[in-house]
This record gives sequence, C-alpha cells and structure tokens, in this order.
Amino acid sequence: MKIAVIRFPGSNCDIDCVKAIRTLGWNADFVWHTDAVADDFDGAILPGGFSFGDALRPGVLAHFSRAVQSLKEKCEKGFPVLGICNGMQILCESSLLPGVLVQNKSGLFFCGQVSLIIRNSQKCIFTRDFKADETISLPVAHGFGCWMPSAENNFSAEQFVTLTYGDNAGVFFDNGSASQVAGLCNGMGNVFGLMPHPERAVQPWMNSLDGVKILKGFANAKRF
Amino acid sequence: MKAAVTILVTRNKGVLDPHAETILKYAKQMGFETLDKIEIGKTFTCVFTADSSEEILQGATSLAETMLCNPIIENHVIAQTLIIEQ
Repeated sequence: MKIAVIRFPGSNCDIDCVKAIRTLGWNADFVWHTDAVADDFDGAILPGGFSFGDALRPGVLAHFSRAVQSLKEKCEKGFPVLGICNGMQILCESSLLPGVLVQNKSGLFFCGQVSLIIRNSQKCIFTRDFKADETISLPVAHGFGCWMPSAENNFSAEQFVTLTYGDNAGVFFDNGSASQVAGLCNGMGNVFGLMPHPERAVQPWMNSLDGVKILKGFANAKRF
Repeated sequence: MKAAVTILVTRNKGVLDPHAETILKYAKQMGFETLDKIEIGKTFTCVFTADSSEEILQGATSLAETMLCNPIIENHVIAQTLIIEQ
C-alpha cells in the first residue's frame, strides 16, 4: 500500500500523517499541491494545518490546487481519500463532502482529547472495522470545526454522518456542529472527512490507539 | 479596458458570527449603549483588464460565485464597477 500525503503551504500535520502510515507498515509519500496525485498511489490523505494560512476561508484555496482537482476524478471511481481537520475543510469546500466548516460557536480554538461515537460504521471504508455506535477517543485541535449543512442538502444521517462528538453518557464537546457532526463520508463511502486527528492516536504513548483502525481503512477500498 | 469591481460578501441570515458577537459585547461594555447589532462582511476590489464591460462583469460574477463566496454561509453583491481605462 502506498498513500499520498498532500502538502500545501501551511500544512503542519503532514509529517505526522506520513509517520502514522509508516507505523502500519505501509509506504507514504508527500505530494506537493502543484502536482497531480500519481496513479501508483492506493489512497490519499489531506492533512491538518492551515493551508494557505486559511486565507479567504479555511480550505478554499487548497481545493483549487492541481493535487485536489486530480483527486476528484479518482474519487468517482472509488479511490479512498481521508481528509483530516483542514483536510475535511478542503473536502467540504470542494463539494466532495456536503456542507461547510465555520468558526467554533465559542469563537475559541479548542485543543484536547474528546469522545466520539462511530455512526453508520459499515457505510464508510474508514469506519467499517468498528462496531456499530462504538465510542472512541481522539484529539481535536481546531478553531473552525462547526459543521453546517447546506440548505439544498437533503441531509440524511444515513448517507453522510459517520462520526459525532459525544459518548454514551450524552456528554459532548460542543463546537456548534449541527447534530454534533465530527466526521462525514460521501455516498460511495470512499471519501471520509473528520475534524479529529487519527494520526495522533497510533502509538502506545499517545492518549489512544483508535486512529489505527481508521487509517487501516485504506485497505478496505480494495474490497469495497 | 480596465475596471475595478467592488464585490461585497456578507453572511446569510442565521449564520453565527462569534467575531461580530464579541465586538458587539465589548462595544456595549465600552459605552455604546445605542448599538444593537454588528454584522461583519468582506469587501473585495478586483481590477480586471478585458475587451468589454460585459466580459469584466462576467469575470467578477464568476470569481464571486466560485471562490469569494461560499453560498452555504454567504451571499454577494457586485456593488460598483469603476472604469479605470477605456
């Protein structure tokens, strides 16, 4: 398996993504945003950070890049793409995922470990190795994580929502996201965007190991 | 011809703006008792060079719709076109 980690000016979680993929025993290479993603990659990650300094809106300038545009056609054929934090913002701005991420309701940048619930686990290749409604723990670090659906979206929980903030006790990290959405997948299930950072939950010395199963989801694309 | 097109981008009704709320809160604390509301928008002044004013307007509209404005949360208005050179 070889995964492309797309880099933009301002990306800062790209090295963590490459390291995390390599802990799984797979190959990972950087792809600069001005290059198309080559055909010998088995999947791509849009990493976290502040691409283009969040100029205009988080993720919007990145979606016009050659690298992201080269993904659009590939995604229609089932190519797996994982968008983490700024990567999810890029996927929403490029309409590969619905809605938009706006500033947290509090106006504050929040950084910490949160509980999350896996929803519709079989819908998405990156969540299908989890049990239905399983609770996991991942770190978040974002100022623009409040998800809003578009008015035209026939917003269907069955179709798109794959991760929500919260746990079974009903407590949740509230950044204002509609329906506590923390992660979404597309209709085909090969494009997954999430605000939390799975690449920071892959080693025993990290707060959790729940990121491993998410990253391993790239392998599910072959039999999807 | 060369023209400067001013595009205003404002938030749709009902979209939260924590920045605007913060400014309003502290403005009132600083004594602006008659102030009820603040809305924050963006102003883009875009200079185009093209053969006709129609082409310039088309360029400005396309730029606004595909990049400057996310229709889920914002709407735009082309407020002014100022011809710099005929």
